[in-house]
Amino acid sequence: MKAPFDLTGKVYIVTGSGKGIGKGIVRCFVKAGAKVCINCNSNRAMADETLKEIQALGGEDCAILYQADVSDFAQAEAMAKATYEHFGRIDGLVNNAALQKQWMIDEYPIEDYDLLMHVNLGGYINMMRAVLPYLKETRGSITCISSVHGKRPTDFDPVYAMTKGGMHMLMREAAIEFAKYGVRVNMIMPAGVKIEFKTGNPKPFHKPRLTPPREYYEKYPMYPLGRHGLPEDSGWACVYLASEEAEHISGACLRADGCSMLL
Amino acid sequence: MRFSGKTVYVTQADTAQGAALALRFAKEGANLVLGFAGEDLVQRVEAAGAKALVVRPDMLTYEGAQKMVDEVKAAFGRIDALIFNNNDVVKTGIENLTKEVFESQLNANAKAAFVLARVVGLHMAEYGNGKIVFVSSIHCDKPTGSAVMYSISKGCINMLCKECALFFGRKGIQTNLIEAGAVEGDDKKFESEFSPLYAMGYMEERIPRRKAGSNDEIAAVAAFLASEEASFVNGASVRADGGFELFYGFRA
Repeated sequence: MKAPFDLTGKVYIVTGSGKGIGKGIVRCFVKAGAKVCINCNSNRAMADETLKEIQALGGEDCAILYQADVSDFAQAEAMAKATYEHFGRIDGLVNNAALQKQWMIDEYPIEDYDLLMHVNLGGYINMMRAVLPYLKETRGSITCISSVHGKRPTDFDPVYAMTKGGMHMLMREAAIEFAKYGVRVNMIMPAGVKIEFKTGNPKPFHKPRLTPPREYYEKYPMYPLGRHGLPEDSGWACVYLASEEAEHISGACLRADGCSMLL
Repeated sequence: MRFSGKTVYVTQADTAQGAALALRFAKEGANLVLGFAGEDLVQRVEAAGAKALVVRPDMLTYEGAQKMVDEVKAAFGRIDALIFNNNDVVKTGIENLTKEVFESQLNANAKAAFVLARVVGLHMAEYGNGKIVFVSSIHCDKPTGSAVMYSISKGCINMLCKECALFFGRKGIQTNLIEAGAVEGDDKKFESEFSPLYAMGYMEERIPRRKAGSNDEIAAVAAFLASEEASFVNGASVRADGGFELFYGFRA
Protein backbone atom coordinates (compact mmCIF):
# COMPACT_ATOMS: atom_id res chain seq x y z
CA MET A 1 0.00 0.00 0.00
CA LYS A 2 1.30 3.44 -0.92
CA ALA A 3 1.94 5.67 2.08
CA PRO A 4 -0.03 8.94 2.03
CA PHE A 5 1.72 11.89 0.36
CA ASP A 6 4.39 9.58 -1.06
CA LEU A 7 6.15 11.14 -4.08
CA THR A 8 8.37 8.21 -5.02
CA GLY A 9 9.27 8.28 -8.71
CA LYS A 10 8.19 11.89 -9.19
CA VAL A 11 10.36 14.80 -10.30
CA TYR A 12 10.14 18.45 -9.26
CA ILE A 13 11.90 21.68 -10.16
CA VAL A 14 12.20 24.14 -7.29
CA THR A 15 13.45 27.58 -8.31
CA GLY A 16 15.68 29.53 -5.97
CA SER A 17 16.43 26.40 -3.95
CA GLY A 18 20.13 26.88 -3.25
CA LYS A 19 19.18 28.34 0.11
CA GLY A 20 16.33 29.56 2.28
CA ILE A 21 12.75 28.42 1.76
CA GLY A 22 13.57 26.73 -1.55
CA LYS A 23 16.20 24.58 0.13
CA GLY A 24 13.68 23.53 2.78
CA ILE A 25 11.25 22.59 0.01
CA VAL A 26 13.71 20.32 -1.84
CA ARG A 27 14.62 18.69 1.47
CA CYS A 28 10.93 17.82 2.07
CA PHE A 29 10.43 16.60 -1.51
CA VAL A 30 13.41 14.26 -1.22
CA LYS A 31 12.25 12.98 2.17
CA ALA A 32 8.89 12.22 0.49
CA GLY A 33 10.71 10.12 -2.12
CA ALA A 34 10.88 12.56 -5.03
CA LYS A 35 13.78 13.62 -7.22
CA VAL A 36 14.53 17.30 -7.61
CA CYS A 37 16.19 19.88 -9.80
CA ILE A 38 17.76 22.45 -7.51
CA ASN A 39 18.05 25.89 -9.08
CA CYS A 40 20.19 28.87 -8.20
CA ASN A 41 21.11 32.03 -10.01
CA SER A 42 23.84 34.05 -8.31
CA ASN A 43 25.04 32.05 -5.33
CA ARG A 44 26.54 28.94 -6.95
CA ALA A 45 28.87 28.05 -4.06
CA MET A 46 26.00 27.85 -1.60
CA ALA A 47 23.90 25.82 -4.05
CA ASP A 48 26.77 23.34 -4.50
CA GLU A 49 26.70 22.79 -0.74
CA THR A 50 22.91 22.34 -0.87
CA LEU A 51 23.27 19.75 -3.65
CA LYS A 52 25.75 17.74 -1.53
CA GLU A 53 23.47 17.95 1.48
CA ILE A 54 20.44 16.79 -0.51
CA GLN A 55 22.37 13.94 -2.12
CA ALA A 56 23.53 12.84 1.35
CA LEU A 57 19.86 12.79 2.35
CA GLY A 58 18.35 11.01 -0.66
CA GLY A 59 21.26 9.44 -2.55
CA GLU A 60 23.45 10.51 -5.48
CA ASP A 61 20.64 10.15 -8.02
CA CYS A 62 17.98 12.17 -6.25
CA ALA A 63 19.07 15.67 -7.28
CA ILE A 64 20.69 17.79 -9.93
CA LEU A 65 21.71 21.43 -9.77
CA TYR A 66 20.93 23.83 -12.59
CA GLN A 67 22.10 27.43 -12.59
CA ALA A 68 19.64 29.69 -14.42
CA ASP A 69 18.17 33.17 -14.27
CA VAL A 70 14.42 32.51 -14.42
CA SER A 71 13.69 36.06 -15.56
CA ASP A 72 15.10 34.96 -18.94
CA PHE A 73 12.63 32.63 -20.70
CA ALA A 74 15.38 30.90 -22.73
CA GLN A 75 17.19 29.92 -19.52
CA ALA A 76 13.94 28.79 -17.88
CA GLU A 77 13.16 26.63 -20.92
CA ALA A 78 16.68 25.18 -20.95
CA MET A 79 16.38 24.22 -17.28
CA ALA A 80 13.07 22.43 -17.88
CA LYS A 81 14.57 20.58 -20.86
CA ALA A 82 17.70 19.57 -18.92
CA THR A 83 15.55 18.27 -16.04
CA TYR A 84 13.38 16.26 -18.42
CA GLU A 85 16.40 14.83 -20.24
CA HIS A 86 18.06 13.85 -16.97
CA PHE A 87 15.10 12.31 -15.15
CA GLY A 88 12.77 11.43 -18.04
CA ARG A 89 9.77 13.27 -16.64
CA ILE A 90 8.63 16.38 -14.74
CA ASP A 91 5.75 16.14 -12.27
CA GLY A 92 5.78 19.59 -10.85
CA LEU A 93 7.24 23.01 -10.40
CA VAL A 94 7.64 25.09 -7.29
CA ASN A 95 8.05 28.75 -8.15
CA ASN A 96 10.04 30.21 -5.31
CA ALA A 97 12.85 32.43 -6.66
CA ALA A 98 12.12 36.02 -5.71
CA LEU A 99 13.89 39.25 -4.78
CA GLN A 100 13.27 41.94 -2.23
CA LYS A 101 14.85 45.40 -2.23
CA GLN A 102 13.49 47.05 0.89
CA TRP A 103 13.20 50.62 -0.35
CA MET A 104 10.32 52.83 0.72
CA ILE A 105 8.19 54.29 -2.10
CA ASP A 106 9.86 57.72 -2.01
CA GLU A 107 13.35 56.22 -2.45
CA TYR A 108 12.59 53.36 -4.86
CA PRO A 109 14.96 53.33 -7.88
CA ILE A 110 12.88 52.64 -10.98
CA GLU A 111 15.50 50.10 -12.11
CA ASP A 112 14.76 48.05 -8.99
CA TYR A 113 11.03 48.28 -9.72
CA ASP A 114 11.71 46.74 -13.14
CA LEU A 115 14.03 44.09 -11.71
CA LEU A 116 11.48 42.88 -9.15
CA MET A 117 8.69 42.73 -11.73
CA HIS A 118 10.89 40.74 -14.11
CA VAL A 119 12.18 38.27 -11.52
CA ASN A 120 9.26 37.85 -9.11
CA LEU A 121 6.45 37.96 -11.68
CA GLY A 122 8.20 37.38 -15.01
CA GLY A 123 10.24 34.52 -13.55
CA TYR A 124 7.14 32.74 -12.23
CA ILE A 125 5.42 33.10 -15.61
CA ASN A 126 8.52 31.98 -17.55
CA MET A 127 8.85 28.84 -15.46
CA MET A 128 5.15 27.99 -15.74
CA ARG A 129 5.35 28.25 -19.50
CA ALA A 130 8.64 26.33 -19.63
CA VAL A 131 7.36 23.29 -17.69
CA LEU A 132 3.77 23.20 -18.99
CA PRO A 133 4.52 20.92 -21.99
CA TYR A 134 6.01 18.32 -19.59
CA LEU A 135 3.28 18.72 -16.98
CA LYS A 136 0.65 17.98 -19.63
CA GLU A 137 2.17 14.48 -19.89
CA THR A 138 2.10 13.82 -16.15
CA ARG A 139 -0.97 15.87 -15.15
CA GLY A 140 1.45 17.59 -12.80
CA SER A 141 1.18 20.49 -10.44
CA ILE A 142 2.55 23.98 -9.91
CA THR A 143 2.94 25.57 -6.49
CA CYS A 144 3.82 29.24 -6.16
CA ILE A 145 5.50 30.51 -3.01
CA SER A 146 3.97 33.89 -2.32
CA SER A 147 3.92 35.63 1.02
CA VAL A 148 1.46 37.08 3.50
CA HIS A 149 2.50 40.27 1.69
CA GLY A 150 0.30 39.27 -1.20
CA LYS A 151 -2.58 40.21 1.08
CA ARG A 152 -1.11 42.45 3.75
CA PRO A 153 1.23 45.34 2.92
CA THR A 154 4.90 45.27 3.94
CA ASP A 155 5.51 48.91 4.83
CA PHE A 156 9.11 48.25 3.79
CA ASP A 157 9.01 47.23 0.12
CA PRO A 158 5.92 48.31 -1.84
CA VAL A 159 7.12 46.74 -5.09
CA TYR A 160 7.76 43.37 -3.43
CA ALA A 161 4.15 43.46 -2.23
CA MET A 162 2.96 44.46 -5.71
CA THR A 163 4.70 41.45 -7.23
CA LYS A 164 3.14 39.19 -4.60
CA GLY A 165 -0.31 40.67 -5.30
CA GLY A 166 0.28 40.02 -9.01
CA MET A 167 1.33 36.46 -8.22
CA HIS A 168 -2.01 35.85 -6.51
CA MET A 169 -3.78 36.63 -9.76
CA LEU A 170 -1.24 34.71 -11.83
CA MET A 171 -1.93 31.63 -9.69
CA ARG A 172 -5.70 31.99 -10.13
CA GLU A 173 -5.49 32.60 -13.89
CA ALA A 174 -3.14 29.64 -14.32
CA ALA A 175 -5.43 27.43 -12.23
CA ILE A 176 -8.41 27.97 -14.54
CA GLU A 177 -6.36 28.04 -17.76
CA PHE A 178 -4.43 24.82 -17.05
CA ALA A 179 -7.35 22.89 -15.55
CA LYS A 180 -8.12 21.44 -18.99
CA TYR A 181 -4.74 19.67 -18.88
CA GLY A 182 -5.37 18.35 -15.37
CA VAL A 183 -2.56 20.60 -14.16
CA ARG A 184 -3.22 22.09 -10.73
CA VAL A 185 -1.88 25.44 -9.54
CA ASN A 186 -1.78 26.49 -5.90
CA MET A 187 -0.09 28.96 -3.61
CA ILE A 188 1.57 29.04 -0.22
CA MET A 189 1.88 32.20 1.83
CA PRO A 190 4.69 31.86 4.37
CA ALA A 191 5.66 34.48 6.93
CA GLY A 192 8.47 35.18 9.34
CA VAL A 193 10.99 32.78 7.86
CA LYS A 194 14.49 33.88 8.87
CA ILE A 195 16.17 34.02 5.48
CA GLU A 196 18.55 36.51 3.99
CA PHE A 197 17.41 38.40 0.95
CA LYS A 198 20.40 39.77 -0.90
CA THR A 199 18.91 43.22 -1.44
CA GLY A 200 21.98 45.13 -2.54
CA ASN A 201 20.40 47.99 -0.63
CA PRO A 202 22.79 49.63 1.84
CA LYS A 203 19.89 50.78 4.02
CA PRO A 204 17.48 47.86 4.30
CA PHE A 205 14.34 47.81 6.43
CA HIS A 206 13.16 51.23 7.41
CA LYS A 207 13.40 51.58 11.16
CA PRO A 208 10.01 51.46 12.86
CA ARG A 209 8.98 54.69 14.59
CA LEU A 210 8.27 52.90 17.85
CA THR A 211 10.14 50.00 19.41
CA PRO A 212 7.92 48.47 22.08
CA PRO A 213 9.64 47.03 25.17
CA ARG A 214 10.60 43.37 25.40
CA GLU A 215 7.56 42.67 27.60
CA TYR A 216 5.27 43.66 24.72
CA TYR A 217 6.54 40.85 22.50
CA GLU A 218 6.78 38.44 25.43
CA LYS A 219 3.11 38.93 26.15
CA TYR A 220 2.05 39.26 22.49
CA PRO A 221 4.40 37.21 20.29
CA MET A 222 4.40 38.05 16.57
CA TYR A 223 3.77 34.38 15.85
CA PRO A 224 1.02 33.02 18.14
CA LEU A 225 2.26 29.45 17.70
CA GLY A 226 5.42 30.51 19.47
CA ARG A 227 8.16 30.34 16.88
CA HIS A 228 9.38 31.87 13.63
CA GLY A 229 8.55 30.27 10.30
CA LEU A 230 10.83 27.52 9.01
CA PRO A 231 11.53 26.60 5.38
CA GLU A 232 9.99 23.17 6.07
CA ASP A 233 6.64 24.76 6.94
CA SER A 234 6.35 25.63 3.25
CA GLY A 235 8.14 22.42 2.25
CA TRP A 236 5.59 20.03 3.73
CA ALA A 237 2.76 22.15 2.36
CA CYS A 238 4.39 21.78 -1.08
CA VAL A 239 4.60 18.00 -0.62
CA TYR A 240 0.91 17.85 0.20
CA LEU A 241 -0.12 20.11 -2.70
CA ALA A 242 2.03 18.07 -5.11
CA SER A 243 0.67 14.73 -3.89
CA GLU A 244 -2.12 12.65 -5.40
CA GLU A 245 -4.08 13.28 -2.21
CA ALA A 246 -4.45 16.92 -3.32
CA GLU A 247 -5.87 15.98 -6.74
CA HIS A 248 -8.99 18.13 -6.21
CA ILE A 249 -7.10 21.17 -4.91
CA SER A 250 -6.39 23.94 -7.41
CA GLY A 251 -6.42 27.72 -7.21
CA ALA A 252 -6.05 27.45 -3.44
CA CYS A 253 -3.98 29.56 -1.14
CA LEU A 254 -2.50 28.04 2.01
CA ARG A 255 -1.11 30.30 4.72
CA ALA A 256 1.90 28.85 6.54
CA ASP A 257 2.55 31.75 8.87
CA GLY A 258 2.16 30.57 12.46
CA CYS A 259 -1.20 32.36 12.52
CA SER A 260 0.56 35.74 12.38
CA MET A 261 -1.68 37.27 9.72
CA LEU A 262 -4.69 37.14 12.02
CA LEU A 263 -3.06 39.50 14.52
CA MET B 1 -20.35 71.49 -3.83
CA ARG B 2 -17.98 68.82 -2.57
CA PHE B 3 -15.08 69.67 -4.87
CA SER B 4 -15.27 73.46 -5.15
CA GLY B 5 -11.76 74.85 -5.43
CA LYS B 6 -10.25 71.36 -5.69
CA THR B 7 -8.24 69.94 -8.55
CA VAL B 8 -8.85 66.35 -9.58
CA TYR B 9 -6.54 64.48 -11.95
CA VAL B 10 -8.19 61.69 -13.95
CA THR B 11 -5.66 59.55 -15.81
CA GLN B 12 -6.60 58.03 -19.15
CA ALA B 13 -9.57 60.35 -19.48
CA ASP B 14 -9.84 59.37 -23.14
CA THR B 15 -12.00 56.38 -22.21
CA ALA B 16 -15.74 56.09 -21.49
CA GLN B 17 -14.97 55.54 -17.81
CA GLY B 18 -12.56 58.50 -17.83
CA ALA B 19 -15.18 60.79 -19.32
CA ALA B 20 -17.78 59.73 -16.76
CA LEU B 21 -15.31 60.42 -13.95
CA ALA B 22 -14.35 63.81 -15.37
CA LEU B 23 -17.95 64.95 -15.79
CA ARG B 24 -18.91 63.78 -12.32
CA PHE B 25 -16.12 65.80 -10.69
CA ALA B 26 -16.80 68.77 -12.98
CA LYS B 27 -20.45 68.84 -11.90
CA GLU B 28 -19.32 68.84 -8.28
CA GLY B 29 -17.16 71.92 -8.76
CA ALA B 30 -13.68 70.55 -9.37
CA ASN B 31 -11.05 71.73 -11.80
CA LEU B 32 -10.04 68.83 -13.98
CA VAL B 33 -6.68 67.58 -15.12
CA LEU B 34 -7.44 65.19 -17.92
CA GLY B 35 -4.94 62.58 -19.06
CA PHE B 36 -4.88 62.25 -22.85
CA ALA B 37 -8.40 63.69 -23.28
CA GLY B 38 -9.68 64.94 -26.61
CA GLU B 39 -11.22 68.34 -27.35
CA ASP B 40 -14.74 66.92 -27.11
CA LEU B 41 -14.36 65.98 -23.43
CA VAL B 42 -12.73 69.32 -22.64
CA GLN B 43 -15.78 71.08 -24.08
CA ARG B 44 -18.20 68.94 -22.08
CA VAL B 45 -16.22 69.54 -18.86
CA GLU B 46 -16.15 73.28 -19.51
CA ALA B 47 -19.86 73.28 -20.30
CA ALA B 48 -20.37 71.80 -16.83
CA GLY B 49 -18.68 74.91 -15.44
CA ALA B 50 -15.23 73.50 -14.74
CA LYS B 51 -11.76 74.41 -15.91
CA ALA B 52 -9.85 71.70 -17.72
CA LEU B 53 -6.19 71.05 -18.44
CA VAL B 54 -5.19 68.21 -20.73
CA VAL B 55 -1.92 66.49 -19.86
CA ARG B 56 -0.02 63.79 -21.71
CA PRO B 57 2.66 62.74 -19.26
CA ASP B 58 5.19 59.96 -19.61
CA MET B 59 3.66 57.85 -16.83
CA LEU B 60 6.57 55.41 -16.73
CA THR B 61 9.25 57.76 -15.41
CA TYR B 62 9.40 59.83 -12.24
CA GLU B 63 10.68 62.76 -14.32
CA GLY B 64 7.76 62.56 -16.74
CA ALA B 65 5.22 62.45 -13.91
CA GLN B 66 6.97 65.33 -12.11
CA LYS B 67 6.84 67.45 -15.27
CA MET B 68 3.09 66.91 -15.36
CA VAL B 69 2.76 67.87 -11.67
CA ASP B 70 4.72 71.08 -12.32
CA GLU B 71 2.42 71.87 -15.25
CA VAL B 72 -0.65 71.42 -13.04
CA LYS B 73 0.90 73.52 -10.27
CA ALA B 74 1.36 76.38 -12.74
CA ALA B 75 -2.25 76.10 -13.91
CA PHE B 76 -4.22 75.22 -10.75
CA GLY B 77 -1.78 75.38 -7.81
CA ARG B 78 -1.94 71.76 -6.72
CA ILE B 79 -3.56 68.34 -7.20
CA ASP B 80 -6.09 67.38 -4.51
CA ALA B 81 -7.08 63.97 -5.82
CA LEU B 82 -5.52 61.42 -8.15
CA ILE B 83 -8.03 59.14 -9.86
CA PHE B 84 -6.01 56.38 -11.46
CA ASN B 85 -8.11 55.07 -14.30
CA ASN B 86 -5.70 53.12 -16.53
CA ASN B 87 -7.49 49.95 -17.54
CA ASP B 88 -5.85 48.59 -20.68
CA VAL B 89 -7.09 45.13 -21.59
CA VAL B 90 -5.20 42.84 -23.94
CA LYS B 91 -6.60 39.36 -24.32
CA THR B 92 -4.02 36.68 -23.67
CA GLY B 93 -3.60 33.44 -21.78
CA ILE B 94 -0.42 32.34 -20.03
CA GLU B 95 0.37 29.67 -22.58
CA ASN B 96 0.38 32.12 -25.49
CA LEU B 97 1.71 35.13 -23.57
CA THR B 98 4.39 37.16 -25.32
CA LYS B 99 7.11 39.25 -23.70
CA GLU B 100 5.66 42.32 -25.43
CA VAL B 101 2.21 41.91 -23.88
CA PHE B 102 3.76 41.13 -20.49
CA GLU B 103 5.68 44.42 -20.64
CA SER B 104 2.98 46.61 -22.16
CA GLN B 105 0.19 45.48 -19.83
CA LEU B 106 2.30 45.76 -16.68
CA ASN B 107 3.55 49.17 -17.78
CA ALA B 108 0.15 50.59 -18.68
CA ASN B 109 -1.72 49.32 -15.65
CA ALA B 110 0.81 48.76 -12.85
CA LYS B 111 4.01 50.73 -13.46
CA ALA B 112 2.08 53.88 -14.33
CA ALA B 113 0.12 53.42 -11.09
CA PHE B 114 3.30 53.08 -9.06
CA VAL B 115 4.99 56.09 -10.68
CA LEU B 116 1.96 58.37 -10.43
CA ALA B 117 1.10 57.30 -6.87
CA ARG B 118 4.64 58.07 -5.77
CA VAL B 119 5.05 61.39 -7.57
CA VAL B 120 1.54 62.75 -7.01
CA GLY B 121 1.48 61.29 -3.48
CA LEU B 122 4.68 63.11 -2.54
CA HIS B 123 3.29 66.30 -4.12
CA MET B 124 0.10 66.05 -2.04
CA ALA B 125 2.13 65.20 1.07
CA GLU B 126 3.62 68.72 0.92
CA TYR B 127 0.13 69.98 1.77
CA GLY B 128 -0.57 67.30 4.36
CA ASN B 129 -3.72 66.06 2.62
CA GLY B 130 -5.02 64.48 -0.56
CA LYS B 131 -6.76 61.45 -2.00
CA ILE B 132 -5.69 58.61 -4.23
CA VAL B 133 -8.37 56.43 -5.81
CA PHE B 134 -7.54 53.46 -8.01
CA VAL B 135 -10.37 52.59 -10.36
CA SER B 136 -9.52 48.90 -10.46
CA SER B 137 -11.55 45.80 -11.10
CA ILE B 138 -13.12 42.71 -9.54
CA HIS B 139 -10.35 41.00 -11.53
CA CYS B 140 -7.91 41.91 -8.78
CA ASP B 141 -9.45 38.86 -7.11
CA LYS B 142 -11.48 36.89 -9.65
CA PRO B 143 -9.53 35.52 -12.61
CA THR B 144 -10.67 36.57 -16.09
CA GLY B 145 -9.74 33.45 -18.01
CA SER B 146 -9.10 35.78 -20.92
CA ALA B 147 -6.75 38.64 -20.06
CA VAL B 148 -4.19 37.32 -17.61
CA MET B 149 -1.84 40.31 -17.64
CA TYR B 150 -4.79 42.59 -16.90
CA SER B 151 -5.72 40.69 -13.76
CA ILE B 152 -2.09 40.28 -12.71
CA SER B 153 -1.60 44.04 -12.97
CA LYS B 154 -4.79 44.52 -10.92
CA GLY B 155 -3.36 42.19 -8.29
CA CYS B 156 -0.28 44.44 -8.19
CA ILE B 157 -2.44 47.53 -7.71
CA ASN B 158 -4.30 45.87 -4.85
CA MET B 159 -1.08 45.77 -2.88
CA LEU B 160 0.11 49.18 -4.10
CA CYS B 161 -3.09 50.65 -2.68
CA LYS B 162 -2.44 49.12 0.72
CA GLU B 163 1.22 50.18 0.76
CA CYS B 164 0.20 53.76 -0.14
CA ALA B 165 -2.47 53.66 2.57
CA LEU B 166 0.28 53.07 5.13
CA PHE B 167 3.06 55.25 3.72
CA PHE B 168 0.97 58.21 2.58
CA GLY B 169 -1.58 57.66 5.35
CA ARG B 170 1.05 58.95 7.75
CA LYS B 171 1.22 62.09 5.62
CA GLY B 172 -2.50 62.86 5.70
CA ILE B 173 -3.47 61.16 2.44
CA GLN B 174 -6.09 58.44 2.03
CA THR B 175 -5.69 55.79 -0.67
CA ASN B 176 -8.52 53.50 -1.74
CA LEU B 177 -9.55 51.22 -4.53
CA ILE B 178 -12.71 50.43 -6.46
CA GLU B 179 -13.27 46.86 -7.61
CA ALA B 180 -15.49 47.71 -10.53
CA GLY B 181 -17.22 44.88 -12.31
CA ALA B 182 -19.96 43.89 -14.72
CA VAL B 183 -20.07 47.35 -16.25
CA GLU B 184 -21.65 47.75 -19.70
CA GLY B 185 -19.35 46.30 -22.33
CA ASP B 186 -17.39 44.08 -19.94
CA ASP B 187 -18.91 40.94 -21.47
CA LYS B 188 -17.32 41.84 -24.82
CA LYS B 189 -14.05 42.87 -23.19
CA PHE B 190 -13.47 39.74 -21.12
CA GLU B 191 -15.31 36.89 -22.86
CA SER B 192 -13.35 33.76 -22.04
CA GLU B 193 -12.77 30.21 -23.21
CA PHE B 194 -12.75 28.85 -19.64
CA SER B 195 -14.54 31.25 -17.35
CA PRO B 196 -18.34 31.46 -17.70
CA LEU B 197 -18.45 34.93 -16.06
CA TYR B 198 -19.33 36.78 -19.25
CA ALA B 199 -20.51 33.90 -21.37
CA MET B 200 -23.29 33.85 -23.94
CA GLY B 201 -25.20 36.89 -22.80
CA TYR B 202 -25.49 35.72 -19.20
CA MET B 203 -23.45 38.50 -17.56
CA GLU B 204 -26.52 40.46 -16.55
CA GLU B 205 -28.28 37.35 -15.25
CA ARG B 206 -25.49 37.05 -12.70
CA ILE B 207 -26.27 40.50 -11.29
CA PRO B 208 -29.18 40.43 -8.80
CA ARG B 209 -30.80 43.53 -10.37
CA ARG B 210 -30.23 42.03 -13.85
CA LYS B 211 -28.74 45.18 -15.32
CA ALA B 212 -25.09 45.97 -15.95
CA GLY B 213 -23.40 48.82 -14.12
CA SER B 214 -22.73 52.16 -15.77
CA ASN B 215 -19.59 54.25 -15.85
CA ASP B 216 -21.55 56.93 -13.96
CA GLU B 217 -22.21 54.51 -11.10
CA ILE B 218 -18.49 53.80 -10.80
CA ALA B 219 -17.76 57.55 -10.94
CA ALA B 220 -20.15 58.09 -8.03
CA VAL B 221 -18.12 55.72 -5.87
CA ALA B 222 -14.89 57.42 -6.92
CA ALA B 223 -16.37 60.81 -6.01
CA PHE B 224 -17.27 59.53 -2.55
CA LEU B 225 -13.79 58.07 -1.98
CA ALA B 226 -12.16 61.31 -3.20
CA SER B 227 -14.36 63.46 -0.96
CA GLU B 228 -13.88 64.57 2.63
CA GLU B 229 -16.77 62.30 3.62
CA ALA B 230 -14.37 59.38 3.17
CA SER B 231 -11.75 60.83 5.54
CA PHE B 232 -11.55 57.63 7.61
CA VAL B 233 -11.61 55.25 4.65
CA ASN B 234 -8.03 54.24 3.87
CA GLY B 235 -6.59 51.18 2.16
CA ALA B 236 -10.09 49.89 1.45
CA SER B 237 -11.34 47.98 -1.56
CA VAL B 238 -14.90 48.92 -2.41
CA ARG B 239 -16.52 46.38 -4.69
CA ALA B 240 -18.92 48.09 -7.08
CA ASP B 241 -20.38 45.34 -9.22
CA GLY B 242 -24.03 45.11 -8.20
CA GLY B 243 -23.33 41.79 -6.48
CA PHE B 244 -22.04 40.15 -9.68
CA GLU B 245 -19.18 38.45 -7.87
CA LEU B 246 -21.51 36.79 -5.36
CA PHE B 247 -23.20 34.73 -8.07
CA TYR B 248 -23.88 31.13 -7.08
CA GLY B 249 -26.23 29.59 -9.61
CA PHE B 250 -29.18 31.05 -11.53
CA ARG B 251 -32.34 31.87 -9.54
CA ALA B 252 -35.73 33.27 -10.46
